[in-house]
Amino acid sequence: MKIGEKASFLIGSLTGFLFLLVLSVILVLIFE
Amino acid sequence: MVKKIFWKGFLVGCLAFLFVAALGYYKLVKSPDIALAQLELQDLEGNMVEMADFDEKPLVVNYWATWCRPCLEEFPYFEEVKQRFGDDIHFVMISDEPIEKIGKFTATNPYSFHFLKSSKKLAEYGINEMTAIPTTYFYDISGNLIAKHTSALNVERLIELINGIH
Repeated sequence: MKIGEKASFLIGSLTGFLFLLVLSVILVLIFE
Repeated sequence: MVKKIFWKGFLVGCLAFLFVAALGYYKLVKSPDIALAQLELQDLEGNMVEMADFDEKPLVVNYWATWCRPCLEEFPYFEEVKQRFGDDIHFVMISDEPIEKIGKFTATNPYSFHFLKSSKKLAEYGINEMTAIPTTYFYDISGNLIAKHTSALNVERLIELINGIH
């Protein structure tokens, strides 16, 4: 993997993690 | 190519979150099955109490603490439901805080439940105090655990769960 690809993978992982985190917080706030 | 790798990373990130969330749920939030015989309790005078003393009626057991705001917020709902069911059901509120602290609370908040102190820490039953209270257990007339609910209850949900043991 080149550095650019590594960075892209890392940013993707972080985005995916944060995406589900924010989504779950929103769902909890709506349904709680 | 870089775009494709981003989405691969995105997928890995989502899976990592699901793993962390599932682990957190099972470790911190999920309440264990607790048999009535496991409980070691005292009344507010310090006398040992056996859960067998609460036989012949369905039982609602709530784990709470004086510092837990959602616990205190749901007590009026419990009181309302208790008045509705009359003496058909026992409501037992269990905290592992010092008796003096529970007594001080009951003196200023005259609810009609049985307030008991757990001799063991709630964590010893597997209940994580910081994340899993209030939690409420519903036992039928034979003492079998029928349902449990973690987080605060409202009147409708409480009645629904009580109908399962009543």
